[in-house]
Amino acid sequence: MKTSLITLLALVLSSCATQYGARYLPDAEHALDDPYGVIVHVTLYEDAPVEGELLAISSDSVFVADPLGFRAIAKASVHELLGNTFDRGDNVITYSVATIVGMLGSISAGAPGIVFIMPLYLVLGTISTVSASNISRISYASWDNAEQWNALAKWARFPAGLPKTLHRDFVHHRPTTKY
Amino acid sequence: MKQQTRNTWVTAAALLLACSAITCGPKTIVRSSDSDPAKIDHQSRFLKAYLGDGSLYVLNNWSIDSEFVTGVGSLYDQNRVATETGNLKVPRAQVVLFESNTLGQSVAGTGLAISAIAHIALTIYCIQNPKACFGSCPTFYVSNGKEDALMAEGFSSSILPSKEEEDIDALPHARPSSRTMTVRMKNEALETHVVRSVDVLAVPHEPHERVFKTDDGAFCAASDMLKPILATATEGSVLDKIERLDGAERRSWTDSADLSAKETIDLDFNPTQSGEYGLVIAARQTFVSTYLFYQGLSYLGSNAGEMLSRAERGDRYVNSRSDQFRKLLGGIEVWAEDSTGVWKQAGEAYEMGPIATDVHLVKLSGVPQPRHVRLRLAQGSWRIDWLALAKLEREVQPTLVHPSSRVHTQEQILLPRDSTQNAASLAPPGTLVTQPGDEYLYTFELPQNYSNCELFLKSRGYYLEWMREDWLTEENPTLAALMFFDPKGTMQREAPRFKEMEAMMETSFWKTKISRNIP
Repeated sequence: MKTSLITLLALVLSSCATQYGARYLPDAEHALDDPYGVIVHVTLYEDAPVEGELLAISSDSVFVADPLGFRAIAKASVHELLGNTFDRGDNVITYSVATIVGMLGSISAGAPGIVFIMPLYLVLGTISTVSASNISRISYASWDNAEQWNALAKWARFPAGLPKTLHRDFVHHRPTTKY
Repeated sequence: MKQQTRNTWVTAAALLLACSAITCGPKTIVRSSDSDPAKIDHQSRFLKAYLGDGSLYVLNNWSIDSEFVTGVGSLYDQNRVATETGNLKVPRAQVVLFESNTLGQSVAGTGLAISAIAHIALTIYCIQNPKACFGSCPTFYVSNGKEDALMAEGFSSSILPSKEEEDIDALPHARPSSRTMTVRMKNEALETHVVRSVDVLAVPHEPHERVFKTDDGAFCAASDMLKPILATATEGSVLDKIERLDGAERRSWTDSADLSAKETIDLDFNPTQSGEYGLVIAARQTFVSTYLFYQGLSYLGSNAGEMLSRAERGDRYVNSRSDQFRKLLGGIEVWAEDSTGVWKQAGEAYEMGPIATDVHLVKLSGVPQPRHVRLRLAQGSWRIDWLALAKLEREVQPTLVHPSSRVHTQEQILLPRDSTQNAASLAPPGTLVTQPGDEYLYTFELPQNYSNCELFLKSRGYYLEWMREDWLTEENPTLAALMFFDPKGTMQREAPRFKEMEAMMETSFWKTKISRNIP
């Protein structure tokens, strides 16, 4: 029983999405007036992945500020882009634990609890946990609809496009501490 | 009491979980941006105004008119260093993009909330009504021509090995499509079933005849089936409820002062020929006997095992006192008025179990042309589907059909596999032991003339009720003793309590059925 529950917990948690910028993204409340772009992780077809603040998206490029500075990435070289718009907090762990506690608690209702309520917690609790893990997720996948690029642009530091006056050598990544 | 306290805590925790999942669930950000400020959300606390050079105004208490955007906040440069703060004003023409951000409620917590609410409902139900749980022996499902339907329950009164007995149930709705008939047997209760045998009895008859069984095991072919011309109970005419075997049942509610209080139903018939007649009764019990059985186990609590062992060992006192309950509630007594106006008891129909309706024949011996028949039964204890007068022609002999195969189609769901295998290995050869969730499919090869046969299911065995944790909380040696010493008084003491839950028992009972493939 104990092994099953640990396996289940591991399964639920493993199905949760990785969060990028978890250490320094503000939570939803504080992200409302955040002047920076969101954090993205860009997987490229040939080069090493790039992770940093989304600066802008143009017709053929994605611009990211990583800790090393400004990066211009050709859209055609992007395999996948994943990102987070704010720190989702501890909801994933809370929901995972609540799912397990609910399942254990369902035993107290006897056989009907085990037969009806426990599977309900398992299925809906897992859905809740996975949903919570994706709460701040944005994504683009090369095999999916290219229109997604347009939807991503609003999460950039410069949603109207890269300013012509921007000096690329002096662009700084957003602060890596929470403020 | 300990269990109730625990259930209360579980309910409270689940309630808290549901509330927090709904109200304190994760928030999401709803962002809208456009060069036209009319298209953004004006309820947004902050306004972001992007300029062409990449700088950004983030404003609180903002407003936009035809010329200016104003508010309290900061101006950030391209690297988002605040260069100006305070009351700010920017010409609207310089702004290339407006943006609003608001918090939205995520539905991520809904799944957990639904689970928690279902959990609360079940826990409350269990606290309020632990004795309305599904119980009563193996259930049998047979095709009615459209689907597998519940048609019989086997050996319901065999609650101990010593009470093992044979049970024959009519299958009036069975409609096998060929000689090969399947019967699905399920264990849907918290019980262990020990099944010695399951067979089908096929009784051939003439096309215009029906065959019924008497409670002493005889089968009679009947020609004319007469509906009552009058059927009167306490509430008035019940003719529309009992003139057909259609699932519409006549039932009454228990007396709030005495569960064994009796009521009568008067039937008038108009037979035109003399001969031997019998009354056909299709009925099943309500939940009174189930409640009393479970309540008895509750009062016995941790002593239930000892008391059942005494009964199993043949303790005459325990057995005689248990029989008192059966006698007080009784079956459906059938009385007939003879030609001299004297009422005589013709017999009694008795079938334990609230699940499946069974059809009985009570012979009205000595009354050659019965016109007035009276039923006497415990008020609120029976549900009657069909009453008819049958003109009996002769006794007929059934053909016994053994199963040609038996397949285990669903595994039990509550016990470790090892323990069920051990239990099965201890059973004598040919005996089947089933646990909650087990399901078996029997196949029978019926006689050639199966379409002119009345079918019955014959099962033999016994079952062991599982003690429920909730029941232990009511252990009360005094009330347990009173059940044995004063059965009549128990019927009166338990009546108000039963009355409180009577209306919801039907729903509660079926909800707790344990099965994965309920048709």
